[in-house]
This record gives sequence, structure tokens and C-alpha cells, in this order.
Amino acid sequence: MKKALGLFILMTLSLIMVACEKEDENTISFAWWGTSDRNIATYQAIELFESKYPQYKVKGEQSSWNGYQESLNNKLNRGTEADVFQVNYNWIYSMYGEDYFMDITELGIDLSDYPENEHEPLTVNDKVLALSVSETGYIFYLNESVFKHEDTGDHLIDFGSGRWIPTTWEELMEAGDAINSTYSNKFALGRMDAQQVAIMMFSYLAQIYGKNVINDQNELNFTKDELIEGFNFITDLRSSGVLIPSNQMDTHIDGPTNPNWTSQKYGGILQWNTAISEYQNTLPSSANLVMAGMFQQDGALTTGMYKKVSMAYAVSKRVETSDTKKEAVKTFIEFMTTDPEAVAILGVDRGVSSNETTQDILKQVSNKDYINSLEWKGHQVVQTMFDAQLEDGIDLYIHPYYEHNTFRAIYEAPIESFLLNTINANEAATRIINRFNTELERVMEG
Amino acid sequence: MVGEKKWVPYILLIPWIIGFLLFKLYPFISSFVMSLYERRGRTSTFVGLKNFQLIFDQSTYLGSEFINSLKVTFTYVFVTVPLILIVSLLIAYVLALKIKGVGFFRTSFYMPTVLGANVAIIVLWRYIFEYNGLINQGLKLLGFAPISFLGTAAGAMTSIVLLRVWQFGSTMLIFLNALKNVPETLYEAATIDGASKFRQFFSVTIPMITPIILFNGVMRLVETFQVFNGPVLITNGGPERSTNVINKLIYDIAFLGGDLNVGTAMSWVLFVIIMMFTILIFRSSRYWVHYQD
Repeated sequence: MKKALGLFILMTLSLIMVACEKEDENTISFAWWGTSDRNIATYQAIELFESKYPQYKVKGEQSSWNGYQESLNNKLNRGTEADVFQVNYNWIYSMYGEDYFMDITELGIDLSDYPENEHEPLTVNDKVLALSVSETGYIFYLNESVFKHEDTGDHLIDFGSGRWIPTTWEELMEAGDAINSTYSNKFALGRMDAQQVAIMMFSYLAQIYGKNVINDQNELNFTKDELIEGFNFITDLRSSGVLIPSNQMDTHIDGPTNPNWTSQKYGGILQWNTAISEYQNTLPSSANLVMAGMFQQDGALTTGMYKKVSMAYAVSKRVETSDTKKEAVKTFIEFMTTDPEAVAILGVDRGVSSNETTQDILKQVSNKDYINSLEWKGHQVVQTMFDAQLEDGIDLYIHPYYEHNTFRAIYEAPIESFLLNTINANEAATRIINRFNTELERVMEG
Repeated sequence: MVGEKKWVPYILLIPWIIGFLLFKLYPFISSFVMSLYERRGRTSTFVGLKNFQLIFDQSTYLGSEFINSLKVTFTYVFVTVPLILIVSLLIAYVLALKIKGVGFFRTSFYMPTVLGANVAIIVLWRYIFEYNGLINQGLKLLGFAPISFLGTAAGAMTSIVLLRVWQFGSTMLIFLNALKNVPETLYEAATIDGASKFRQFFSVTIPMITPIILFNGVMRLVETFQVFNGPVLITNGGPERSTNVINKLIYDIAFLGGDLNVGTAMSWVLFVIIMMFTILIFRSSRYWVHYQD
């Protein structure tokens, strides 16, 4: 019995010693979320890094999107976050990044290859709290098969000279009518959730009024009447075969795996240009998904293109305390963003970097046509439209609290009810107006 | 040898005691302490009962969500628990009869409990209740209009309630055992007195198994108040927050939103509610539970 007790104590002590083992300063931990394509590419890049820099080891911590934020929140609370971790840009604010994330300029990372304003949204009190990996915007992608006659293969709509891709909302509704009147179970777009409808409605309203959703005083920039106009626009889309008449008719929450999407009943999607591969991967290989940009309207003040930093690399504040670790982390981040071989491996799976060096490398990759990928084409459209808006003095950069976990329900919940046909446009607009400003103020105060 | 034996049980209890202290008592106490603080980044400030006030303040989004989730949870619990008890008791009653192939039926009825509410089953459940799911395909074949189970508040609640009721196996087994322990002599006496089977069920069977009804009721009540998997994976709390049960809200606030202080305050309210109902049931049991001794 005494032997057993001794063994028990020995094992407990060993476990405690293992748990308390001092972390090797030449080992870098790197956490990210992603699908299998991204995971494979990232591990390949890590392997390459370790072969090029044998003095360093990298511990990869992969995760799916679901659960990543929860896990990161927990780790930050406990101080066990990875040295380098992928973040959404708004987390810099909602996670009190200033307390947990290191100022990356202290690492000596060169930001001169990035556009001048790229890191402004990631900067709090003059501290750049994460390195932008890519920027993204919501744009439309259309599945050509749905726009074609099933028997003849001819396009169901022709806007002139064989053009079937709508460029305006009006043309989109014409296409919807043509598709839905031929095949009653097919729609030009199909089912969109509250998040997608929100940005589509705010893009439409931005085109008319030239305003961002949230103004510089952190208040809702649209009046009740303007919101009602936005909701009426959604009604028009639903009655013209663009969107399904009610979301009660399709309750499948996950867009990419929605059977109506995979079986090509739905003709399009409004998605971040950095995430379109999720939708592309679930379509049959015969499907032709094309980038349609943002639909426009006559007399618009702007193109209605919202954008934001898609994702960024943050560095744990723990790293600040060790020069060796700082050097290791700097080497790793620079390798992941600018090393020609690493960039070629990682491709555009995390979006198209705005870093000029990175873009030049991607353009020269011979075995993959990154320039003609949906992500790249989307990136070009987003940047072009956004820059044109800026020249007109209209800034539609997405507010850092727009996608805040609890705040977003203030506009998404009424939109969801509207899409389920349980409330009308007036009621939905009233609900948004009533709580938007007070709730935004509350979440911004923390 | 005798002296050595005396401390052996204590040594064997050590792992459990360590586990209890580390993983039950410590989180239990620290969660209450946490609910009295407000944390912004690395700075924690003692705020007393502010978090509790916040979650009951209906003028805020958080408060209205909390009250909504309480209503949703109460609806879920007070529909699910009686249904589980009724269904499992009726099935147990039938399975207690001496009928041919009863072993097969007992196994079949217990299968859903073995499968549990795991992810695969819940995904399957989704495909059954979706607009284009199995049930609606059947309705269409029969010429009926499809029903939007997951697109309406009542339909979504029905779906998650049915998922739980479907797993009645454990409750049924406990009832089955209790039914077999009802003395045959009582039924014989009732038969001689001219009582019908129906009368025997309500006047003999039910009173005799009330201790088991109490046990099953309390266990299911505690369990259903803490429901999480079904509402998260089938409906994700929707549509229109109609299945946003309290545990899902706690998860969203504490882990997704990173506000552990408010999350723990909500958890403590849930704990107090469960405690109150448990005490209430036990207090009421003296009026309706009959012990043979």
C-alpha cells in the first residue's frame, strides 16, 4: 500500500513538473482558424519555415471557425494564448486588444509595403495591435447554371450582346423574374440570412444616400423612413424571384451546405470575397461560379461597397518580455507574409494580401493561377469600388462594433423577423431605431 | 494490519475528493465571486450585484435577452418534463405486461437514449424537421402543405422538445423497475373489489410508484433546465430567439462574448431557480408521495 501511495505521489509530482515546464523561447506557437485547405497549406508553410530556420520550432494550433473565438477568449483570460494568433479585426476592440496584444511595430515588422491606411483600423492609441493579412468586402457571386435553360443550355436572360450577368438591381430583378417564372423552385439569389440581408440593405441605402451605417458620432446614420425604404427594397427582391418569398420556406442555416445551393436551385450569393471558396467547394464541378461585384442603381451617390480587414495576425503581449521570442516571432510573421515560397504555398486562402511584395510574388507563381481566382477578382473589385468612393469623400469602412456579438442582434433580429414575415417593414425599422444607438454606446463602453 | 486498513478507504477517496474540490467546489465558489466583478481587459473591479441588476434590466438588450431566455427555458422545461414522465410511464406500463417479444421492444425503446443527443443525431433531427426534410416530404406525398417546423417559434420549440422526449429510455427503465415492484396482491385485491384496469392504474399503480415519479421528475427537471445541445445544433436559438434557452445565452455571453462576469451571474440565477424548484417539489412531495413504510 505504501508503495502504491509513493507511486501516486511521484506521478502527481511528475505531472505538475511537466505542466510547469518552461517554454522554449525558440518555439513559436501559432493559432488560426480555417478549413482543411488552409490547414494543409499552413502546415506546409510551417514545415518550410522550420527547414529554413532550423533554430526555431513552430507549434501549430488549428481550429475550425466555430469555437475559435470562444477558445481565444478563454485563453486570453488565462494567459495561455498562442504567441501569434489569427484574429478578426473587430476583436481588437471587443477583446481589449490593448491589454493582450503586442504593438507589432515594436517587433520591427516593415509596414511600408502596405497601403497607407491599411493598419489604421488595427491601431488603438498609436499601437498597431495586429498585422493585416487581407481586406475583404461583401460582393455577389452568381452560378451561371441557374441562369440557363435546363434543356437547351441557353441563358434565360440576355441584357444585350449575350451578357447574362446583371449589373444593376433592376437587371437582377429581371433575371429573377426570368428564372423563377421558368422554374418555380429556382431563384436568382435564393435564401439569404439576416447578416447578408443587412449588408445588402445598407449597401443599397449607401448607394442612395452616400452614408455609412454608423456615423462618426457612433450613431445610426439612417432615419426610420430610410430604413423602411431599405426593407421595401428587400420586399421587391422577394417578389421578383431574386430571394425566396419567406425564410420560413428554407430553414437550413448553413449557406454552403444548403441543399438548394448545392443542387443549384439558388443562383447566387452575397459573400465576403475571402470566403467564397466555401460556397464554391460545395457546388458540382460543372458549375460555373462567377464574380458579379456589387449591383448598382441609377443616380447612385456611391457604389455601396463596404470593406474591412478580413483577418490579421496578432502577437501575444507575453512576447514583449523576451527579445529572443520577439526575434523568433518577427522572423516567423515576415516569413509567412513575404517569403516567396511560403506565399506561393499559402496562396489566397486567407484572402489577397494588400502587401505589394506579397502580391508580386503571387502574380509570379507559375503553377497556380491566383490572379484569375474568385478571391483575387473579388479583391480587385472591392478595392477599386472602395477607392472610388473615397475619392468622392464617402467612407464605407465597416465600424469595429458593427459585427459585435451582442450588438449585431439589434439590427439582425428585426431583419430575421422581417425575413420570416412575422413583422412588416415599419415594425422592423422601428425596432432597429429604438435600440441601435443606446446598445452601440453600451458595447463601446464595455 | 487492522491499523493499515483504516486509512485505505481515505486513500481511495483522495482522487474523488481532489476532483470534487478542484472541479466542483472551487469553480462553484469562484464563479460566484466572479459574478460580483466587472472585467475590462486585464482590470477587474468589484461591482457588487451590478451584473445581476444588469441581466434583469429590461431596458437593455442583455436584460431583455435574459428574460426572453428564461421564458423560453421555462416553456421548454414545463412542456418537456411532464411529457417525458407521461410517455416513459405509459411505455413502461405496456412493457411490464407479459407480452410476446417484449425484450425486443424494451431494447428498441431504449436505443434513442443510447444514441443520445450527440451531434450526428441532432444533424439527423435537423434533416427530419427542415422545410424540405423527411416529414415535409411525407406530407407532400400525402397531398398536404409542408409545415415550417424550424421557421416558426412553435415548430422550433416542438422540435427540440421532441428530441428530448424521444430519449425517454432511462426514465422508462426506472419506471419499469418500479412497476415490477408493485405487489401483485394489491392488484388481486383490487380485481376482487371490481376495479377496472384503468382504475387499478390510477388507484394502485400510480400511488405505489410516486417515490419513483418524484425521483424521475426531479432528475429530469434539473437536466432539462440545463439543456444546451439541441437548441444550439438544431435551431441555434432561433427563429427569432424562440429557442434561445438560458444555457445557450450564458454560453454566448461568457465564451463567445468573453464576458465571464455577466455569464456567471446568469449561471447563478439559473442555479437558484433549479434549487427553488427542487425544494418546492420536495416540499410538496409530502402531500402526494406515498412510501410503503
